[in-house]
Amino acid sequence: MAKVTLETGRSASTDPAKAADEALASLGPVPPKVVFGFVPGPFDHSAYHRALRERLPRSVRLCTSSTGGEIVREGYLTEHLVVAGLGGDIEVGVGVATGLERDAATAGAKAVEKAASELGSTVSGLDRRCGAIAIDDGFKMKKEEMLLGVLEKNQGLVLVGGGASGYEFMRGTGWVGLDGEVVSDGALIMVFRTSAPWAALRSHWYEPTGRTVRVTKVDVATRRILELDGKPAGSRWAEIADVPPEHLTIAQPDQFLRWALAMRVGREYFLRAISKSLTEDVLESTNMVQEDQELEVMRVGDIVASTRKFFQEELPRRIEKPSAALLFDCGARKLYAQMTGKLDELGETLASAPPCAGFTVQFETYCGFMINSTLTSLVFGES
Amino acid sequence: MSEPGVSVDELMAEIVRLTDELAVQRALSARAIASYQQRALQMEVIRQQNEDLDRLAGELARSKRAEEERSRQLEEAARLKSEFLANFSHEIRTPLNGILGYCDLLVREEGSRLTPHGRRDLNVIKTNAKTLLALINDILDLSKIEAQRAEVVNERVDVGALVDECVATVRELLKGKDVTVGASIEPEAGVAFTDSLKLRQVLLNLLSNAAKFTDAGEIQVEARASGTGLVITVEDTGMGIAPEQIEHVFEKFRQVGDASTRKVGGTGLGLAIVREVTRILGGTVSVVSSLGRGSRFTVTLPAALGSEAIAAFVPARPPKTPVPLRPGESPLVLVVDDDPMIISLLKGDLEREGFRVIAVGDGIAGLAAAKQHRPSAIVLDIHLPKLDGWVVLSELKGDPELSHVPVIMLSVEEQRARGFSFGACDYLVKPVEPERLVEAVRRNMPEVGGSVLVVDDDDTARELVSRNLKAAGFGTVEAPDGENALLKVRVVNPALVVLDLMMPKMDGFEVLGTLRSEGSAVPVIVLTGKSLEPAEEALLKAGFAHVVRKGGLAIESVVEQAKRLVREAGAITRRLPRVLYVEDSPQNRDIVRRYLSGEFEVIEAEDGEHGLERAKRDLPDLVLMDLSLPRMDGWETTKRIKESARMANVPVIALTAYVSREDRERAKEVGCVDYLTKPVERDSLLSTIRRHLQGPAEAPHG
Repeated sequence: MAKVTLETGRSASTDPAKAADEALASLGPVPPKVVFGFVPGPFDHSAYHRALRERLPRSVRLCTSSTGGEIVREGYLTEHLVVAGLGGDIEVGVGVATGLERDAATAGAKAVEKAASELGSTVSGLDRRCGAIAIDDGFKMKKEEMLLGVLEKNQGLVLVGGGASGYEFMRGTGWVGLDGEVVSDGALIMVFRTSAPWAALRSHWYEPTGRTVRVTKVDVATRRILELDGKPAGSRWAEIADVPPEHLTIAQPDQFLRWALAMRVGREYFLRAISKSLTEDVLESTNMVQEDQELEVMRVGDIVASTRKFFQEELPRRIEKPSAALLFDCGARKLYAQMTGKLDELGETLASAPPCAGFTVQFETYCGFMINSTLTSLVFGES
Repeated sequence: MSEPGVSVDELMAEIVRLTDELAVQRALSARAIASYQQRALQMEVIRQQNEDLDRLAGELARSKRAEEERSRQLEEAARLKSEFLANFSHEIRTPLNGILGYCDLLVREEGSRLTPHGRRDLNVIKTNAKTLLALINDILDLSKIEAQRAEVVNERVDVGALVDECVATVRELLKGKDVTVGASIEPEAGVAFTDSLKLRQVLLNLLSNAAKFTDAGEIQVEARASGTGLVITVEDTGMGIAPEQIEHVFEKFRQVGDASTRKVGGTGLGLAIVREVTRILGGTVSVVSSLGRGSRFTVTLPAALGSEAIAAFVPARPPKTPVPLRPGESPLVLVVDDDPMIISLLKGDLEREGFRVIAVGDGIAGLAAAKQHRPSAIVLDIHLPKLDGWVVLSELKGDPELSHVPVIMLSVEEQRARGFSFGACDYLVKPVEPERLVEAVRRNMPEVGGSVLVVDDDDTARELVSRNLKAAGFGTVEAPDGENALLKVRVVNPALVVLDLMMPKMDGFEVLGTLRSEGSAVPVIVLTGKSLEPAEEALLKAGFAHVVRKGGLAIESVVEQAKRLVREAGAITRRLPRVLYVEDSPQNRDIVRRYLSGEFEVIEAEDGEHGLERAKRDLPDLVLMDLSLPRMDGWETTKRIKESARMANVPVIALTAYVSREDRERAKEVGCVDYLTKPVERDSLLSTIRRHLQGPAEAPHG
């Protein structure tokens, strides 16, 4: 019988020491293996990290991340320090990747190697009991390059996570910290090993329309789609969505979020958020795209119903007796829920989740992919 | 590039080249990433497939768990049903037992004082109680079979005797009808290997059915061999069955010919039971019938006559073994039953037949009474307060001092197989006919120091002596003349001979002389009315005969002399060799105890330390030693036995599940004289023990 446990605590105090005291007081008497600290983006990350570190036993690892909002089972929070202690039948190893802008792949490779070595393993030696969590400085947009390095020696490694974020939409610095060391332009790569059941799960609120488009021309950096179906991409996208082109720019997020493209892999859809450039007839993608790639046209569905269904049906189907969940929720989801007045309702769906904590992230990571507009989660259970 | 002397054109050309190179590098990077993403896509598909497999495995596991849970619930339901049946059976049969028993007692003890009207009413009560009992038995039997709880006890069955018994029973049903019942048994079908009670049930049901539907004519039972199969047919000249109804005759609660059935009564379960019981015996039943002319039912039990099965049969019941009784004293029967009514009935039945009876009402008291009084036989109920009958039986059979006392189980539950496996010598189901109970007790009762051969050509005199000896607890064998007497002496090896002198052909003097000349030391009492000449007296004296004159108190004198002589003979009987068996498994101890029963006195110990202690205290003639034992292993125990001067010569035989050469060597090193591996066969065990005791069933240490 193996089980991974999660205990959470939180504090709204703006004093790092007091916040750390209050939040950690909610954790139980048995020290967890690792504590995650989710620190609001505008807060002094180093101060909060230090306050937490000073209050935890040396044997307990501390991983912190700046957030675009904090998540607990009671709902979506702002300006709260949230801590989550992961314990029970689990071992962890953590490495820090630094200098993502310079060489994200190498940084990722080194970090995962360090993390695996802490478990007494090589990266290629990590078996099916092992998985990984990646929390990167999301604003650097280096997830895909970093994943190149992280998964270089073990492509089967299941990895989830999200970008450390801030409270401003698409702007800011993401901070991560490990046991006293706080960095931006970096990432935490945590590898875990457990005999308890676990799974990486995703939920989004888009539905396929059954239509597809073909990327026919991209720029050299592969993040700008110049042509869709052989036509100027911005116009073609507006034509498909049947909305004025300006509705597809980030100036009107409540509008542009109604549409998305997705890459279909097997039976699943990996979202590729796009927006029309404010100035040109091209589409800007958060992901790297390739010419001649066929993508599915997705339309927004019911974010509350799909999330509730995820917690109530999909998650228990994968993990029969869930006992802990770490949530990496895309900023776009929170933004859309806010703009459509559904944030409280969306927060209420978390009551159906197992014990959980998480934060609003700057894009998500799922195995080898950077994905968007998705609630990505790592769920543990009891065997 | 920035070196002096480099022209602007050259610089521009270099910039263009570097820009192109950068573009190429970026394109290369993009392709590398695209390629990586393709691999990631493939990994994702594999991951999904793994996920599907995991889900499938999970669903399979859940489904298996659900199936196990369903199975557990079914088992629980079956258990509850069985429990209910057992309780139901107990609660119904117990009062019925009382009704039937007291009806018998009333008729027997108060019969002369009852008015004819009262006797008739009593018979009506008894008949109705029996009908009700039969109905309950039918329903319970079927439920048991359906719950797959019916036990089959395969044993050697005397088919002729069984058929005769059933025919005798059914004749009672035919009183007042002009129906004859006959039986014919082929010699090849004389002995079968099957469950006698169940075969009896099948045959009785078929015969009862035939008796019900036959008003005149005959019923014929035949048993014949068909290869190794036993075929029994019951044919009647009754009303027969209509062709359209014949396929339904074996169905439950289905009676053919409504009007006729109402006339003859019955529940419609009899033939259903025949079919089900035959099935669990591994056989089949079929019927051919002609309306108005009669029916023939055929039961076939394949392999029931297989000679190998019969030859290989080892009786489940422990062999009847002698328990020392005081000659001439009435045998004591201990009755353990919590129902005062049952005790009262059993006491009445047994005491009337000359047994002494003590009765107790719970299991603990039963064990205590058995230890205190050492009864000749025990009649034991199962449902008892404080300690149930199974535990009592197990304790009795585990106690070397009591294990030889025959135990007859008497319960409302039919669990013969379990009873025999626990060591009961007989199993009766309540309500039991008094005659059946007495017969079972008598059959299993140890004889008083062997049988007495009564030799007299006068039938009346012979019978008188025999009856008086029997009343005193002796078994008797009779011989009407001298030649027959000599033959019987050789065959039955009597403990005593009561001999008349004046007989035709070969007189008593010649018989005595022949006996002594053949080396027989059997005590002889001469019972004669003849005036003896001195020479004749001398002859008798030379033959060590004791003389009792006929007439007056002669019979009492014979009995007294018989008691004395048998007691004296018993006193010089050598004791059985004592074997200590050291074994922690109660099952293994039980098996070996039963193997050695009657041949050796078996004492037991359940661990090494206890084994050593018993060896020191009881000085066995031989030790059987398990090697894997708690507290002190068999090697160490053997070593310590061998270190003791008093026990150094006691042979120790290892009896173990270890089969390796190393274990054998170790056993030999510590002093084991032989090494037997489990499971051990009875013959092999006995021959090995005898070999090391240097003679069959003799005590080398006297």
